[in-house]
Amino acid sequence: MISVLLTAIFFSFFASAVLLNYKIGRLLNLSFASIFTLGAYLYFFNPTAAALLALISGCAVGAVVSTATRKLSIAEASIVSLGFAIAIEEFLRILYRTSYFLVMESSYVEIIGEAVSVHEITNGAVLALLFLIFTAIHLSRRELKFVEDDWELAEMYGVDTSRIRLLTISISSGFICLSGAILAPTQSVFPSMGWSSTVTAVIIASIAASAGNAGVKKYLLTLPVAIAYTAILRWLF
Amino acid sequence: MKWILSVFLALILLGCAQPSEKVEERIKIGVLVPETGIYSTAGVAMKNAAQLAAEHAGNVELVFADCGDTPEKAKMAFEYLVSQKVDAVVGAYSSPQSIVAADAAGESRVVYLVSVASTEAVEKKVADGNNYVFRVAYNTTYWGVLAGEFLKLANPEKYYFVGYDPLRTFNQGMLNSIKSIYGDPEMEFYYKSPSVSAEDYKKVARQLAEIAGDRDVIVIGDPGEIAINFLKEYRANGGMGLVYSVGGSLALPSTLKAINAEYTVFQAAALELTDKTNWTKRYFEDYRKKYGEDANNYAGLLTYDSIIILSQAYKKGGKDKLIETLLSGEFEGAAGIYRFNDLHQALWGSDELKGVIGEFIGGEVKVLYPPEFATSHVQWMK
Repeated sequence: MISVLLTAIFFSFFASAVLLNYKIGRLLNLSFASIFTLGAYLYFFNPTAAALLALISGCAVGAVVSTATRKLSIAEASIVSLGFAIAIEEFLRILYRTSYFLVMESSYVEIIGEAVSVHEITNGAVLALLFLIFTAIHLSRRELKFVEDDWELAEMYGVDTSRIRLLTISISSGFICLSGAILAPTQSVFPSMGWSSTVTAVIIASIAASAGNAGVKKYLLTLPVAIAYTAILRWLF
Repeated sequence: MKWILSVFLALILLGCAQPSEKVEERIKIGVLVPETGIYSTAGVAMKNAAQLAAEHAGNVELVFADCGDTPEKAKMAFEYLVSQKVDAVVGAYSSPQSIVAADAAGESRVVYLVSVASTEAVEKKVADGNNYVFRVAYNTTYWGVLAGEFLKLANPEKYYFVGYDPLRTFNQGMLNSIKSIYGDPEMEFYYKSPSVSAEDYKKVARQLAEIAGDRDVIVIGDPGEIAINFLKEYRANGGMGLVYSVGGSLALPSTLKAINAEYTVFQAAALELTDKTNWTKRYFEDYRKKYGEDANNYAGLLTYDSIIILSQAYKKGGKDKLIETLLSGEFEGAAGIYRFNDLHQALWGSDELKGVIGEFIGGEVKVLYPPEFATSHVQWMK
């Protein structure tokens, strides 16, 4: 069950980032798939500085995506983000051409009779902490909720929506990249590895958003949805 | 008049002194490589191996086309190669891709050598009259035969079969073949793709770690990257059984070393230690020199052999008699000596063409099968 919980925390965070980008950035940010992969490659190249490099690189890519999609409709912006995802994937493929999957050893610890990777535990702890910080910010900063509820009205009332959008997409991309770096030793690293997580995150985000769309509730709902989703699938198969 | 004659004679002599231009006959081979999509890692090995084969053969011109990971893309890539007027085509990765490529070969009347996919549908195409398709790779039955040979060598108390759900058809064909040789497994499992259930391979690994003993064998039918994660999870949860893999990702020494995968057994079409023909050593040594990696990727090696076979067939019979030459001849490749049966399937399992089984022990690969190349015996975890 520990593994299910850690996987659910990861998907919950990923789904929240997808939702946040959709509500505030007004795009289905598909570049997350390759931003996550980028983090994993950074760990492979430099495990010591991977966390810092991933945060910086993720934020930088997020900022570029945000700028490039600023004046586009939701559909157009989503397509552009897909373009970014493909471009990063191809860049990684060209940068490190190998016929091998990149794999790194991960140490395991036993928790309640279950061997769990130290990296999964670290990732779960970091993401849970970030999630709590995000919830606190969301509750204390009204402009976030304002932008989510009505972008145009928020602009009319003088909220700097462009700045909020830029920060939202950049910071969420930075954390997705960080998560890729932390989880790298638990997975086989290859250019298209981020897609399966992204697909699952989008599904969880959709279910959570349809269950409740008010304020911070939809983000909080991603956790029980992710736990139920992971546990049910595990039980089903 | 005299000087005109002198100039004329000098020109004739000059003409005679020119080296006669002998145009070397070259075969133009199209290569379907998955450069994008989920098989792109294997695609790198296939492209590298194809380029090396062209260098070694000397009479080959290559045209590459990205076949991606879908049958639709493979068909478009095949049509592109036909438009480039290739004499023959090799490659593609998955069985659905090879099936559409086989159909395209029949329609365009271009010889196509299947170098990776194992589906029985390829032989059925030939039986139904598509003479343009040949398979250099194993068929599904031979995948099972090799696993059966290993089980006979290891003689475990029990064996468990672990398949990958998206490859269920291949896995069940392989398991049927194992059953006919060695009997039924204790249990069989099929883990889902992580995009369907991220936890499924972990669940199967943990379950097996609990129930399988240290004199049991786990046969993994997944050649992809999930098999690596499965093995890590199985060992981390205390799994002590011998793990036999169909190869692919778990046949690569650097991967086995990176995850410290001791007591992992895998199949390969050839290994550097199995000096089957003059091409074997050349392939492994030159691949490492040229690309800086070990060469025992199944898809890469059989793409190399496919091109070497076509090169030899072209030398023997020319481009108009490729089919007849392939059917009647013997062809040396890095994995052995190839002959094709009436269904255009390479005769894997014959004395001159056998798959290899290796075991990763003490940080290096040792050969268990075939007996003539064996450097070790089956070793169990203590």
